Amino acid sequence: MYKYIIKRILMMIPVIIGVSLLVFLVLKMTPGDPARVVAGSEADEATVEMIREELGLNKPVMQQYVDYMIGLLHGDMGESYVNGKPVLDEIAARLPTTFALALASVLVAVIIGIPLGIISATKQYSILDYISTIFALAGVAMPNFWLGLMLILFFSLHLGILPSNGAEDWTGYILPAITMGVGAVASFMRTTRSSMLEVIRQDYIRTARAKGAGEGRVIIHHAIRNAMIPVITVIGLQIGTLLGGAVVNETVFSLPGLGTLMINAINQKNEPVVLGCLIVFAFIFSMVNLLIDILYAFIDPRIKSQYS
Amino acid sequence: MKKRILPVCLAVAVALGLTACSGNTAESGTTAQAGAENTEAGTQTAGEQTDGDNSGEASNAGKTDLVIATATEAVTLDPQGGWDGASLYVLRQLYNGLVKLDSNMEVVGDLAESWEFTSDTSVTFHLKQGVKFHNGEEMTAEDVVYSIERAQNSAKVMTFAANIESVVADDDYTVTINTTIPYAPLMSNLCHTACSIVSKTAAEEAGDNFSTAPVGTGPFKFVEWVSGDRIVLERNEDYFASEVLPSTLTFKLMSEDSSRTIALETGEADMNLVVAATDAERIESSEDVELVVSMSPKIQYVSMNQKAEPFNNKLVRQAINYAIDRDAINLVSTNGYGVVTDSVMNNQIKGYTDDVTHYEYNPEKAKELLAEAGYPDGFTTSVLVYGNARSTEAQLIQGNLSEVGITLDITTMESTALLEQINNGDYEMFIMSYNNTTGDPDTSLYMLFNSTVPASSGNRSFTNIPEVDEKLEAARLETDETARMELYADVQQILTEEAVWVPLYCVPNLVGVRSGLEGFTPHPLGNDVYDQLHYAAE
Amino acid sequence: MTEAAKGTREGKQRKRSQMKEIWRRMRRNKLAMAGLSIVVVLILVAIFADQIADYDTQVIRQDVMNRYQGPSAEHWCGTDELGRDIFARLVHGARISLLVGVAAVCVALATGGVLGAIAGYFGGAIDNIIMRIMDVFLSIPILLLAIMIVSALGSSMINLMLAIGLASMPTFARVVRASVLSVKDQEFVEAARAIGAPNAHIIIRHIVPNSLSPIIVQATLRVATAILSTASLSFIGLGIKPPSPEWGAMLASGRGAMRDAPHVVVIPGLVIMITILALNLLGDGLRDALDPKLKR
Repeated sequence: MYKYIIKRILMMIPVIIGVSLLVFLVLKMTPGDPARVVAGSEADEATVEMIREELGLNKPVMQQYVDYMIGLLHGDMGESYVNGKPVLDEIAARLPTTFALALASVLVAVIIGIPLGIISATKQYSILDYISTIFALAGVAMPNFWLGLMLILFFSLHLGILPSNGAEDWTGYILPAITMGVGAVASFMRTTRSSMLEVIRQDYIRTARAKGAGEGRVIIHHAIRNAMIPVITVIGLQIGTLLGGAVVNETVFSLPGLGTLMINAINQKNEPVVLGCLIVFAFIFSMVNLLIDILYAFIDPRIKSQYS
Repeated sequence: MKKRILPVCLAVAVALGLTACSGNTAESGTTAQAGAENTEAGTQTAGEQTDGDNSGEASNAGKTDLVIATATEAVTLDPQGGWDGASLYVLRQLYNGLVKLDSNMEVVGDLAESWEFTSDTSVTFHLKQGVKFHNGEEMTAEDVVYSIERAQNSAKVMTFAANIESVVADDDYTVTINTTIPYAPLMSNLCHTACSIVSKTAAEEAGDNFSTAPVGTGPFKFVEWVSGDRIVLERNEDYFASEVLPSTLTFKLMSEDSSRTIALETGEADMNLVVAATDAERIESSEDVELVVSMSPKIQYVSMNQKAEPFNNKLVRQAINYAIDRDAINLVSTNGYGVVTDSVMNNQIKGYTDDVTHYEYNPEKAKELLAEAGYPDGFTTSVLVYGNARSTEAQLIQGNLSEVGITLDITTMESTALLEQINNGDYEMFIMSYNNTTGDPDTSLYMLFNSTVPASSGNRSFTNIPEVDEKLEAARLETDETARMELYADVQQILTEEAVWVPLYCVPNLVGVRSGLEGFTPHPLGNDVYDQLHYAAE
Repeated sequence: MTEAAKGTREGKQRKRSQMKEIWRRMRRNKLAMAGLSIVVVLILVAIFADQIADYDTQVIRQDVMNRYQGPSAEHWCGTDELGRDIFARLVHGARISLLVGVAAVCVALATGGVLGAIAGYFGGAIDNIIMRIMDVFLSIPILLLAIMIVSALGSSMINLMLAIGLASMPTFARVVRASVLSVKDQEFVEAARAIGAPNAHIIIRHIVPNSLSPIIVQATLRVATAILSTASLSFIGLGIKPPSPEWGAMLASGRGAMRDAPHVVVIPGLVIMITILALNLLGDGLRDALDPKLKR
């Protein structure tokens, strides 16, 4: 087992290097002179040139990349071009918000999606099945920033029961978590449904039924438990979508997360911050998927045996 | 087999959820979980809170912890580290300058008790005594010298300390500033936040971190800055100028226009510094909130690149001026709160005149001029914009220009790339606003239209009119205020006749406040200090 | 010779009856049919957009005095912040959205599909290298990748298609690779290889047709994602140039007035929602129809 985990972790390293290289190159392609950002619009050419030198921006791109990666290994992500703060501090300050938001959204999606999936699987082709399917699909179909605006209108303004923005306490996360969670409901619902359908047809369910166990008992005690395994994978896949969605929704709800940090940084051509944010996003995404793979290896001995 | 696997699976699933929260007992991560799980309970609590706020102004009376909603985050709290609009709001609360502009735009003493010009190039300031910095130390001449020199050495704000030869501490409470030339805009510049007085010991100690550990003499002290969320200040009990009424001041970042308005209406915020034009009427008609309309020192304009065809032709520029329906733009952008202006300078700035060439909306006249200029069938050109609001303006202009045969291509870019392209002269038209933060006409006219000023410092239209250059230089040396203002009036007339811009409108300052909140008097330059904000007693 | 001819004919017949069977299964699925009808209507609207509403006089025609008008006989969906007819803009917006969606999927398919096929077919080191590169792309959330690419290339319709297309490239690489792997070792491929058919021939004639169904399903679903991503990018200001009536851009520019003139936001939002819903229902239906194993 440890061998497998170590192998998977080692496999992450080239991916992270690849991501940083990709992001680095793309950022270097974007128009706009970062030295000018640092200098401010008032500064003269000489000052800009001096800053360019100072930041190493006149070095070849690959040299800059290597320098950056060496810094990264030492836990140094550079300094924000706009306010001079260490990027690592900026990201550390914002990360909990985004993480809490992603987690809360997954919870919302799980809480709505799994029961819907179970219902539509046990009552396949019934009207309930259709309604759940449409509900879940409508969730994906809505541009979720739009849903966010609608929820603010209704809950914050019309009913006045939830804050429209900010992350001062957990109530501020309710609307954004619902907004993003609803978009992910469909994946959970579909996976639950198909995996339940599969499980229901298994022999041991038939056996349980044959032994005279009540239908409710069969579903709850036997089917659901086993059907949940594939659903775990969905969490991994959805985290990616949710992190992306966070970028847009943090803006809508004025949440101080990585998303708003990154959008601002893009607008200000604040390269080190954009780079840092994307690397952190990719890292989280890979970590989550790694954890899920490991979890799977625990569950499914076939995967483990490939590595031992 | 399955039996053994299941508990493991569930256990790990739970563990996975909690890894992120760094353990079951950790406070930070679990809040989010609770947030999603206990929706019901949370709804009730939040409801009660808001109900409390909504139940009338009674609950607000005596409220001294005020929340101010802002649209953009401050970049720095170091006055010598930048002067973007969002930072200025906060800097004004933390610092004082030697002098300041009062609400009539007159220069009055701030940290200086009095001052006198000992020659054309030398002015001596007598400081107020016993003024304390937030760290408890007394403000002395040494701090003043340090601060002004700090401004001179900072690339970001050095324009506001231009032409200063030396700053000398004569004694603990006397400072003399010598300029290289008789420099009329000096006093206006000293009113700028860039010349705010910082604590020398604190600034030297903090070094590069002064922005997050600011120490000034202002009515509020710095408490915390939660990146991307809020900046919190607290009352300075020892403020030298007055009693400070709010106990805390929280600048809360809400980038969505509607969020700020909603927050104001629900009482989450006491003040919305930037009310979107579309929300203005709603706020005005609501009982719980009030709209405070004033004019800002900002002007919205379209610039044309005079270095390149076709805008190197004065007739084309005039045609564009005739072709654009500025009233419609003002209506859409500001809901009519803005003031359409003919001059290239904002009407709040000293020396403003509307006695300049007037271009009414007249597509026919525009077509004639275009034909005269050799473009009877119009041409294709492009405009660079940044942001949603300006993109709307660009679309209006696009519609206007299409009527006179000009095809306008709109390019939206991020701000830095946009500025760089403009500074390189690689553009045809752009839409922008100019914020005159000193209130002196020199800042508007010299920086934007003197041919010697590089584009990166302001002359982005590449205006090159010798007569304008001469008059602007003369005005800098002119110590007689009336004569100086006459020079600026001439300059405005020439620039308008030459149609260097399409001045669109003077930008209004729309601020929303909760009903009952008093003590907010908008300053003509937006130099608002919030030390007198308070809710009226019942 | 005759044998061979017979074989092809039979093959064609088999294909036809296969199509019939798929169609029969599709028709039984009411939700999928609903999705299909909506998609067909949208495609027709996009094709005949110019006939339904004139671009110059309706779509980009401004009338500032009549902005934010609610729905009426004259303006079925009301007018927007510049007094333009929202219905006309939605109609022409269908053209843009579908175009961007389909083009983005084509880009994804052309890049990801080819890479996936190569990886799956040749296996070994090639497979490893290609899929590790795909992993790199996959580990950046699609929307973030698209944001990054658009901000590098500048925002225009073509760049948007490229960005969203490239961002969804790895999904197709994975799907195509998986289906190539599943047919690669089947007898008919082995047979073709045995008679010395060139690799390209084998991939095009034998492997691609047999891995088509998961690709079709994925493509339908991805068009939906691409349309949504376009809307999101427009919302954060990285969308298509104004005055193009892109749906997401309509939402973004109208959101300031959503309380006084809710139709400006609600109607385009609903249109997006219905479009995505239809594409998803269609994609799901296709999946069920193409792969009977999933159904009982």
